[in-house]
Order: sequence, then structure tokens, then C-alpha cells
Amino acid sequence: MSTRLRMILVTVMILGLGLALSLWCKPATAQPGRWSAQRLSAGVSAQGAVYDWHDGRDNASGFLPQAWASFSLTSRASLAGSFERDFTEQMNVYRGGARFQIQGEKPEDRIHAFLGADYVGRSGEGSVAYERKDTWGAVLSAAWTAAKKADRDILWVIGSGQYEPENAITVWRLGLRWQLLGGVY
Amino acid sequence: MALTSVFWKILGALNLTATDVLRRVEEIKTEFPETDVAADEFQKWFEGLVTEHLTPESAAALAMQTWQELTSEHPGYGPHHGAGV
Repeated sequence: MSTRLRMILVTVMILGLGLALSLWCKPATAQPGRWSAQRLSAGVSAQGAVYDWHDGRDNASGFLPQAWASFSLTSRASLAGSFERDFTEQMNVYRGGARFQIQGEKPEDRIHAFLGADYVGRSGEGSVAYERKDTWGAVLSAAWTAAKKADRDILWVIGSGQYEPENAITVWRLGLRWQLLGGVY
Repeated sequence: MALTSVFWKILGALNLTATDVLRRVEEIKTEFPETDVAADEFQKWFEGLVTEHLTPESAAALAMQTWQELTSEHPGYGPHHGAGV
């Protein structure tokens, strides 16, 4: 089976899991409808990154501006996608997958933590360093709400570790994230 | 209830505390310095605890509780999922 086909299967499985979760439970009346645009949020991030290679290569670092979007399926499950550009490595990074919130689900909570799985795609000059340009990664992320406005989170300090077994690398990210759209209900 | 509380419930069902787990990890690391062997030993120890403390029925109940935690909908929850992207 080709790598691309395997990656498509993994992506379909991740999205299928999200869909199954969304169909399993019905939203409470106070929540927006299942596929309401109110569940969508989006914004931008500024992140520093450390590329921690597990195959003996020296670690490297980079600056990763990011555009992101999230769609909450339930109180704890969401779909997530992002686009990043590493200007130092001349590389684009695309990610899409599912997140499960393990901490901080209440509106007043400021500390949040998530587990997730992503399809990860790379393109551009820097991507030649990677064994697989299309792969998958497991993600553990945490965030602290640094600023709220009218009970809506608008700024987070974020940190995450993304492990890609097929590329033998962990990408550590630390930065600031702005929520420009959504996050109101 | 936060999902993390489910992890504590699992430890409780196995009659374990977080300190017990960390202590056993340290013991195994000392006894078996090779990572692969240590991982096997930890797995054996954990499987032994599961067999000792859980029945298929109680494990299924715990799994169902975890699933309900994951799929529940609470008014006003979810707007800060962008934090996890």
C-alpha cells in the first residue's frame, strides 16, 4: 500500500472518529446545533519550535507563524487544522486531526490540556529532510488563558509536543495564540 | 467532571496511587536498565494488576463511563477548543 494511500486512510479514520463522536451525542438545548458555524473558531499563532530528532541528527529550531481553525464536536472533542510556514527551513506544514480535551473544559477554566492525533503534511525545500512528507503525529498540548474579553478567551500561551514515529522526530512548540473568530457560545 | 478524574478512577479501581506507579517505575528501571526489558516488565506488572482487580464487567463499566465523559455535551463548554490546535 502506498504511503499516500495509508495517510488518506489515517485521515479518514481520524475524521470518522470525530463524526462518530458527533453522532453519538445530541447537543443540549443551550448548545448551538450540531453543525452550527458557532462551533467554529479560528485565529493565528506565533510560535517558536524545536525539532528534536531521534535518529542522531542535531536538534534545530525555527519560528512558526500559524493560521488555525477548530470545530468543537462535543464539550471535549473537536476537529483541528492548521497551516504553518517555517521561513528558516523554507517549509510549509499542514496539520489536520482530532483533539480530546483532558483538562479545563469549563468556561471559567484557564488551564487547558488536550490529546490528539493529526495527519501531518510538509512541502517546500525544508521538507526533503523528512523521511515521509505525509505522515501522522500524536499531539499533547497545553494552554493558559492569558486574556479574556467578555468571558471569551482571546489570547493563550500555548505549548505542545508532536511526535511523528515515521519521521523519528518530536516537534516542540511554544508561543502565543490569538482567537480572532468564534469562541463565543 | 474533568476527564483527568477518569484516570484517577482507573488507578483507584486498580487499588493504586500515583506514588505507587512512580515507585514501581523506579524499581523496574533500577532492576532492568535496558529500556525494552523494563517496558515489558512494566506491562507485565500492570496486566497483573488489571487481572487481579478488574472483572470484564467492571472494566466495561469503566470504559462506558470514560466514553460518556468524552462524548457529553454541557451548555457553554467547548468555545476554547482552539487552545488545543
